[in-house]
Amino acid sequence: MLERSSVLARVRSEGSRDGTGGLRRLRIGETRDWNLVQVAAFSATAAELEDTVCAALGVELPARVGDAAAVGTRLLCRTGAEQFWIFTRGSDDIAAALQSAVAPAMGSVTALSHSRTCIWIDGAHSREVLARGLSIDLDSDAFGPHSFALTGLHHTPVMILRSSATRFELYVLRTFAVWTWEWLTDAALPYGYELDWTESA
Amino acid sequence: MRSPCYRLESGGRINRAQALEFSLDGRMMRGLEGDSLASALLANGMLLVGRSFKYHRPRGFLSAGAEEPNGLFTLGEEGRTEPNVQGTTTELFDGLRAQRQNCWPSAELDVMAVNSWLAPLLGAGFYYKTFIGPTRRSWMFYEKFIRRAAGLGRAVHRRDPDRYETRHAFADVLVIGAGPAGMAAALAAGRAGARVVLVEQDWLLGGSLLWEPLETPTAAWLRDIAVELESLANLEILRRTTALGVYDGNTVALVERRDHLRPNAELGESRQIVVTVRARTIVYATGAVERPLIFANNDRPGVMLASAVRCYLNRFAVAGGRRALVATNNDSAYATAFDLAQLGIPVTIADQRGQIEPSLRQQTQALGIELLAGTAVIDVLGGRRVKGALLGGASEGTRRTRRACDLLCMSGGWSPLVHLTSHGGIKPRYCPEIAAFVPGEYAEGHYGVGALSGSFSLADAVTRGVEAGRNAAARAGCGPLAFTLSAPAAQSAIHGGGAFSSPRGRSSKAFVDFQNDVTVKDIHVAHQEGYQSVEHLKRYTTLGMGTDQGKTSNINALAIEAHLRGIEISAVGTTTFRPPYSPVSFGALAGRNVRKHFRPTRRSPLHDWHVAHGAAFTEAGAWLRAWWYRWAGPTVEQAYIEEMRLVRGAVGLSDASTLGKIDIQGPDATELLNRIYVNSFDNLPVGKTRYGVMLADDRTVFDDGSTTRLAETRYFMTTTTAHAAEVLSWMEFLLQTAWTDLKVHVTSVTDVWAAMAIAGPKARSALELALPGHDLSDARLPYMGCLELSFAGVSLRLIRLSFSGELAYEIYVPADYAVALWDHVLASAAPLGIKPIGLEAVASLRIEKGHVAGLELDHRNTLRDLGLGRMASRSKAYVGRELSQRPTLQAEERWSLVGIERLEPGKPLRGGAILFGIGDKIEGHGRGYITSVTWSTVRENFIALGLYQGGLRHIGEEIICAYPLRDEQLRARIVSPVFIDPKGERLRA
Repeated sequence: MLERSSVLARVRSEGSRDGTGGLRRLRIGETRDWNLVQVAAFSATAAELEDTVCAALGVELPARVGDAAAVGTRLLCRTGAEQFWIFTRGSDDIAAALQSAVAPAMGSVTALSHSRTCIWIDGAHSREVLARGLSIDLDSDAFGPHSFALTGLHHTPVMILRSSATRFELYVLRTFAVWTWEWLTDAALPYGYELDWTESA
Repeated sequence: MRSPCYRLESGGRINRAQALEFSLDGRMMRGLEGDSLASALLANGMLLVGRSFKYHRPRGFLSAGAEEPNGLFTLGEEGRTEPNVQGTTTELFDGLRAQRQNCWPSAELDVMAVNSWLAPLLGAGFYYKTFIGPTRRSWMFYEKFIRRAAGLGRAVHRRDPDRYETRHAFADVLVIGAGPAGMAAALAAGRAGARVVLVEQDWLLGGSLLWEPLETPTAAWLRDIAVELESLANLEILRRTTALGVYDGNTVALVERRDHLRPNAELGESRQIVVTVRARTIVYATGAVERPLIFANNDRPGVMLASAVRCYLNRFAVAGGRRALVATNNDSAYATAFDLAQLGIPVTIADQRGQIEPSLRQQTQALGIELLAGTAVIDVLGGRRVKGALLGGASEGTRRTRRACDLLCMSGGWSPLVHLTSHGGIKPRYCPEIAAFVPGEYAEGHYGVGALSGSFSLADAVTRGVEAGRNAAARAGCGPLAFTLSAPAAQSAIHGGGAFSSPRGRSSKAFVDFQNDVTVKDIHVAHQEGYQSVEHLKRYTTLGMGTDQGKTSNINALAIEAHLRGIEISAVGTTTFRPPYSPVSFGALAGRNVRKHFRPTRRSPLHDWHVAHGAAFTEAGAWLRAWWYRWAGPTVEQAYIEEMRLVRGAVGLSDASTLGKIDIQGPDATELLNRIYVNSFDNLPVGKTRYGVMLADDRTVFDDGSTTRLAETRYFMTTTTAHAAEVLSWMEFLLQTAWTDLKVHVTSVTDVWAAMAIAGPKARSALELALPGHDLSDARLPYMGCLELSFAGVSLRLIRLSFSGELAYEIYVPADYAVALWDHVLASAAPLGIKPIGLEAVASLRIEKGHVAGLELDHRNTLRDLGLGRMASRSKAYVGRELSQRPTLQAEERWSLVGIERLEPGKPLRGGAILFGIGDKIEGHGRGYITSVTWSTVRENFIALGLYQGGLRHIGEEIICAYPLRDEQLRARIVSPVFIDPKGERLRA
């Protein structure tokens, strides 16, 4: 049996840090055990693909680029005019099902689960920490819960997802994950943070 | 001699209960909370604050704000040293250490003050005219002496221990400047519900209202508005923050200073923060600065702008002298005179105008002020500080009189600060009523209010501020709002614009630009020598350069030039205003992009394993790659040879995860490959892999790699590590622009798959041990074949191809399982002697096999140059095909790929060595160069790949490899680039 390992395994030995005033105002950790699949249509087959995916998953797909819809433990994100990223949890790996449902002439299905590492940050100051690198307006009126964006953080591509009022998830390329982690924890220093590995079992 | 103390017993916006200790040139002094460095120094009687740039003349503070040209200090010490900081904008804090600049051994007794005596020789263009010979390189000799003699503060070479930060912010309405107009605008926009950011460079809100005495209706108004602004949750006030520049898309760069908080870098606290604000609308309320008057010795310590004197008086409770002379050409300076007189300081007003407003005349009489109408200052008496002034009629030839004074307040009118609006593309427009430039037509969503617009009335500022704030909020989708705000009555309501006053004569000591020691005479000289364009004038005289960027000098200089040319000031125009508005430290601009955060580092999924098992690393682009392992030797030179021997004799395992990997899907996937690769993919069966080469548009070899057909409409492409992103972007570009008809998707899966290469005569045996139960025979998995299989529940891709020339396989595994599989393979095949090998060995093995790689794929060589010409299909079109047919690219004498073998044992063959034929003169570019070199464990000799004129037509010939950097030459022979197994028997074993 081969065991999965996190790219952040090494940084687990790092301790939490006190910020100004000896406080730890943030929690930072990694979420594991999730799946990501990319589904994309060709321009002429967009409607057909949407119908097919809707039928296969039993849900409506988000209508506008940048919209996301949470259905149970699944999160469907419209990442492009004809492209979707679908996140699922645990054994709910839908890549194979979608591959058999989507004919090659209709579009493509690509499993990307291993390509990203999910780093999350939670706390009242999480937005301020992220604003140190993200040129996205994270005000709750402009970027509320379930909002996401494909953007850049400190020279690397990331997907940012707001999962609650105070919590953000960064889906970073696996090979840049340690570097992003180092950047994020450094940016969070003045606020202080508690490392939380409860979601990375 | 003890310096006089100028602190008043009452008044000021300072905290008298909180004393602050600071030092100047090592001398301890005391200031108060709320002081600026400048006010604290003045309070301590320190009028001499530095020496001038060129002539080393004694200088005092001219202003009280960001326009200050003279009062520049070096703050901090060791790594925290920061030169050229304005004392006028530096908030005093306990422990501040300041040093005066450009003086030795002290500001009071400066040796280089001798320059002042040489001033007649050091005028405009002096350097250009004097240091031109005797040889062309003479300037290089003179320059260091000149730079040492002239200049401002000096930077240090020590590491800055402080931390700097950057952040992004967003606003519906960005208000720049928190004077009365800016505060009114912010309040109106905030009340309308807009998200407002109010930026103020000072630590207090109020702008020019801070110059008003404390117990006035103005001060009460200011307090009330500030409280209300603070109470708005949708309004962020950034104090101590300067707007540096305005850029496209309403993007504004700010720098926020936090020195007063004594930030602790260990706790992640930043000293300065660069804030990038993206605003829907911008309200400019940047105000105006007072202009100096121009007369002889107008730079003496104690000669100050009238508004600055009033600011020190009412804000900091500091009187700059005991007897004042106020020289003016407009009404605004009267407020200063009145405030001074009310404190009992004897005041004389010398007003260049013959006609004075009756109400002003009455007030002067009431306060006992001597008013001299139609009178101008001709010269200043005194050296290190003002002792008096020589006065004369405003026109030439009138009788001259002397007045004793130790404080000379001058006002030549007001210049709106059009810098930021100009950054934003708003062309300045000359306004003759105030003899200054104001912003021209604003773009949609941009508003200008207050003194910036050329109106100096407080009531106007507040009314227009409210209107702009309301309009800006409405444009951002907020409001409507019925809101009015009335302005308080204030002495500053008597502000007037002021016309330009022509200076008397061409005195060499009448300064226009204080910071760069540019005088009226310099402008005359430049004009006479033909430097009449404002841009030429600036560069010839250095006028308007430096840290103050000519904030106090530009208009006066333009007026003089206009007068000389006999044209209007509007026709002279302005120089270009560019960011930053005021100096910003490199630390702030760099932010946290320093040291380990300087640039991204990319790590293989096996990185931590390599670290734990003694790998040394090398950088390859953003990647950190395992270079060699300590199991093989203590140095790279020893280790890589041992690792090569392992592969040639048994089996080695290397990390190939850095290869670019692209998933290609769609009905037209094959067509895409046919178009971008020179060779055809039409007939590639499912389950087979093909080596491919792609050309750039300009026919040079762009990249190579292998592509595997996983299904009829799906391929798995690998690229070189270096070109992975480039190849993906290029394919996306072509699909989105040129080949929109193709139904293909390309997706990077570089991070999805880890890759490991297992190579050596025992590679198959090793794999069979690691993957029991799978048929890996030559029949099942032949050379260039691919198997997709499952092992322990994990999907693997196994591709048989070789970079080393040995029997070899690449194993692709989902990245999270990489460490587990790597460990498993090493453990399973341990009986065969398998060990990890690093990049150096891999790169050397490929040289022995004659494979081209990054060093040969340098975007300069054609297919033929690299010996790959036969790969190109004749039956299909592909990118780069047409240009590659050009005759010059077919020439036999082009530099093309050869192998090179050393003939002189004991001498090293070096990469980059220049190749010459026997008998050639060893100079110039030679006939080619070595691209890659290694020790060959097969040949037991140094071998190399290189490019040589005529290529393999010279096989067998001796050549000279010259390495001029070390003055080395050695004989070598041109051989085939394939040093081992030319028939490919090993890799097909």
